[in-house]
Amino acid sequence: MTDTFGPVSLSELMFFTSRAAFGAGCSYGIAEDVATAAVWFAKQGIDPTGPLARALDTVFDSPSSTELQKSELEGQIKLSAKSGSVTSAIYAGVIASDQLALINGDKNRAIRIENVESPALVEAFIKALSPIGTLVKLSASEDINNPQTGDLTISTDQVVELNKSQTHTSLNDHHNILVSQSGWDGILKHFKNSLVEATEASRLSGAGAGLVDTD
Amino acid sequence: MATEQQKASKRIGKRPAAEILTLKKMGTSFSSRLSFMRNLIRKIHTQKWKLERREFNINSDGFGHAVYTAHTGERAYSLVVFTHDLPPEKRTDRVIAEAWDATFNLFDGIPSGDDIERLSQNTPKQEAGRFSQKELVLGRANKSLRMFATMLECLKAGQQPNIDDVAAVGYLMRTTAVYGSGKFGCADRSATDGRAEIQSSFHAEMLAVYLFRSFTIDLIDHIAKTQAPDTAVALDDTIKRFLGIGNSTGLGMAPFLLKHSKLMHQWVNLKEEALCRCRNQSVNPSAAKSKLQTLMPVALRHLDQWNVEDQTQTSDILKLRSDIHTFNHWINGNDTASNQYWNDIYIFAANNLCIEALSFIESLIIECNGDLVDELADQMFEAQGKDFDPTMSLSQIQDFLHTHYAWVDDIDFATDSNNAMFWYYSEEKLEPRFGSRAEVPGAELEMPLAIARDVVALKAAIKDLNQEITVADFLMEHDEFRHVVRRIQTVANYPYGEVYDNLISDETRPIDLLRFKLAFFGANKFDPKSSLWTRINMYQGAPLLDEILDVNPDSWAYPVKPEVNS
Repeated sequence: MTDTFGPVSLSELMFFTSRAAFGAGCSYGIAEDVATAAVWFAKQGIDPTGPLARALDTVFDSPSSTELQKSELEGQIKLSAKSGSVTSAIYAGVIASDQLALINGDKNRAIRIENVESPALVEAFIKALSPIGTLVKLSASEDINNPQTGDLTISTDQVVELNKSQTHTSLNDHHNILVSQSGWDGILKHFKNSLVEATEASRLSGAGAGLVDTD
Repeated sequence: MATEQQKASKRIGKRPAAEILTLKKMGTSFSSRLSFMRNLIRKIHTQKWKLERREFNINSDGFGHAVYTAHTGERAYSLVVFTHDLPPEKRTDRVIAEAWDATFNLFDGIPSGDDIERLSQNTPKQEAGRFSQKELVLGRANKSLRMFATMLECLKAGQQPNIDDVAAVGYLMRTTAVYGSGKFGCADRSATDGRAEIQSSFHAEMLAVYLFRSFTIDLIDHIAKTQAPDTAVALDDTIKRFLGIGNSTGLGMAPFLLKHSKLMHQWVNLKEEALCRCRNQSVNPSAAKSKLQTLMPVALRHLDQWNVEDQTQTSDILKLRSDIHTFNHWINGNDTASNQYWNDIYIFAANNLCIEALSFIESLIIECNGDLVDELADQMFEAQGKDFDPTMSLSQIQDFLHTHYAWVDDIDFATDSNNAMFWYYSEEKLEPRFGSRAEVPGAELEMPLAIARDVVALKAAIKDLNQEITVADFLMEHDEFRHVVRRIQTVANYPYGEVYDNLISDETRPIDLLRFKLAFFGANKFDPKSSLWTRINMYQGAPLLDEILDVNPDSWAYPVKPEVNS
C-alpha cells in the first residue's frame, strides 16, 4: 500500500480543505483562508495535508482555543487565547495576518503570539494570507510536520525580501501535488463532517429528482 | 455646440447591478454573440484551426473509442471519447449516476497509445477515476433514446429522419456533466493561464462539447453504415447542422456562480459594456433598421420553435412571442430619423415589453453589432484583484452596505418563508442540493449562499459599535462574519458579481441562476424540468467540423428547423 495519494489539483485541494475546515468547526470565512493557505503550500511544493489535518483535529476536539484576545504594549501587539489555553494555529495565523496589515510595515512594531500550537504553521499562514507576509521576519524554527507549542514573534524590523524570480518559478511549476495518504485521510475525515446525510427527502432536493430518462 | 464633457455626460451608462441581477431578470437570460460557444466558433474560424477526426475505433454496435483533435496553430487539444453499453436501469441524468452511454476527456495535446489506455481505465468511471495534468476536461453523456433509435432506423433503411422528429429533441446525446478546472486530478485552470485560445471562460469545456457533437453525428452515420452497408445513407448535412448537444444542468452551477463573484462581474460587465456601446452608437437609422429586419424573421421562427412541457416556461414563451411580434410590427412601422436607433429600440422594449422580451431584445441589439462588441468576448475571464482588506473601518463597511446591500432591508428573515430553504452538499457523490429546512435534516451544514440573511445579521451586529473599529479587530471577535465581510468588500469593487436577491426563500427558483449562466455559455431552448434543473441545447445550428473554416461562423444565433422533408 502506497503512502501517497494524488496528484491532487490545486482546485481539489482548495475545495476539500475549505470544506474540511468547515467540517472541523471553523467558520466559513476562516475555512476560505485555510484553503488559500493550503494552495499556497502546494505552490511551494509542500504537502499541506498533514499539518492542516492536525491543526483541524485540535479545532474539532477543542483542546486549542479559537478565540483570541489582543492587547497592545509599547507598540507590540500581543495575541493570546482568551481562555488561557493553547491557541489554534489556524486562527492565530488568520488573525495575525489581519493584524499585520494594521501594522502596515511599521518597523517599530511587532506581533507576538503566545502559546500557539504550531508557530511554524502560523508563519506559513501569514506568508500565504498577508500581502506583506513574505517580507516579514519570523521567529519560529520548528519543523511544520512535528509541531511544538511555543511563542512566535512577527516583526518587520529586518525585512528580508525573497528572491522574487525564484518564487515565481516555483509557483508556476506546481499545479498539482502528491499528498500523503494519511494527511489526505485526515482532511477527508473532517470533510465528511461537512456533508449532509443522504435521506429520501434529501434525494428529492437534488436536480433531476424523480426523473426517468425516456427521451 | 456641446463640449466634450457635455457629450460625455449624455452617454448612456451601464445599468445598475441591482436592476439586472435579480433572480427574475437572470431567469430570462438569452445567449448572445459574446457567449462562450459563439466566441469559440468565431475563434476557430478566424484563426483557422485545423480540426480532424484522428481515430475512430468504434464497432458496429457503436462501442469503442475515438479521438478528435483541434490544432490551434501553437497547440493541439484532443477529445478522447469512449462509448459503452448502458443497461436501461442505470440510465439517469443525475450526478449520482454511475454509468453513461459515453464518457470523454479533453486532452492537452495528442494522446499516445499509453494515454488512451490509461484513460480507458479511468474516464468511464468519471468521479471515481483519477486524472492528470494532461486532461483539461472530463465529461459524460447519454443518448436521447427516441432520437437515436429513430434516426438510426431511418438511415439504415436509406431514408432521412423526419425533420419534425429531429426538431422535437434537437440532439443525439446530452451531456450530464462537463467538469473542468482541476476536478478529480485534471489540470487546474491556472495550468493553462496565458493560452489565449482557451483563456476566456469555459473555452476548454466548450471545445470538448463541440468536438463531442461531431462525434455523435459521426457515430450514427457509422453505426447505420456498418449495420446496413447495402441500404444505409449518410445523414443529410442540413440535418446534421441542426443537431446540437443536449445538456442536463443541475444545481452545481449555482454555488459556482456565487463563489466566483469576480468572474461573474466580468461576464456581466462586458455584456453591459456591449449593450452600452450599441445604445450610444450614432448610426444611419435606415441601415440599422435594415440590419435588424434581416434578422427578425429567423428570430421569430426560432421563438416559434421553442416548445417545452413546463407550464410556467410555456406561459413565458407565449408572452415572449407575442411581445416580439409587437416589437416587429413597431420597427416595421416606425421610420425613425434618430441616429440613436439602437437606443430607441432598447427604450421601446424596456417601456413596452415583458422582461423576457427585453432580455431577448438586448441580445438582438448585440447580435446586430458584431464589429462593435466581438472583441469583448475575449476578455471573459476572472479579474485579478484584492478582495479582502482588514484595515478598513466599519464605517467604510457601512458605506458599502448602504450602496450595494440596501435591498436586503426589504427581506424579513424572521418570516419562515424567507428562510425556508438551504443549499448543501449531499454525502451522495457530493451532489449539490437545495432542500427545505423543515424537511431535510442538516441545515447547520448549509453552504454560505444565504448572503442576504448573513448581510442582515452583519448589519445588526455592527450597528451599535464604534464605527472606527477596523475589520481586523471586529473579525477577531466575530469570525462568523468573515466570509460576508470579504464578499461585501469584493462586491464593492465588482458590483456585477452579486445576486441581488434572497437565495433561500420558498419562492427561490435555482433554475433562474442556471439559465443566467447557461446563457453566457451560449445555450438555447431552455427546457426546465423542475425549479431545480433544466435541459438545454448547445451548438444547434453551428457549422460542422469540416465546413467551419468556410462558412459564416455567426450564422447560428437563432437556430431554426431546416426546410427539408417535414
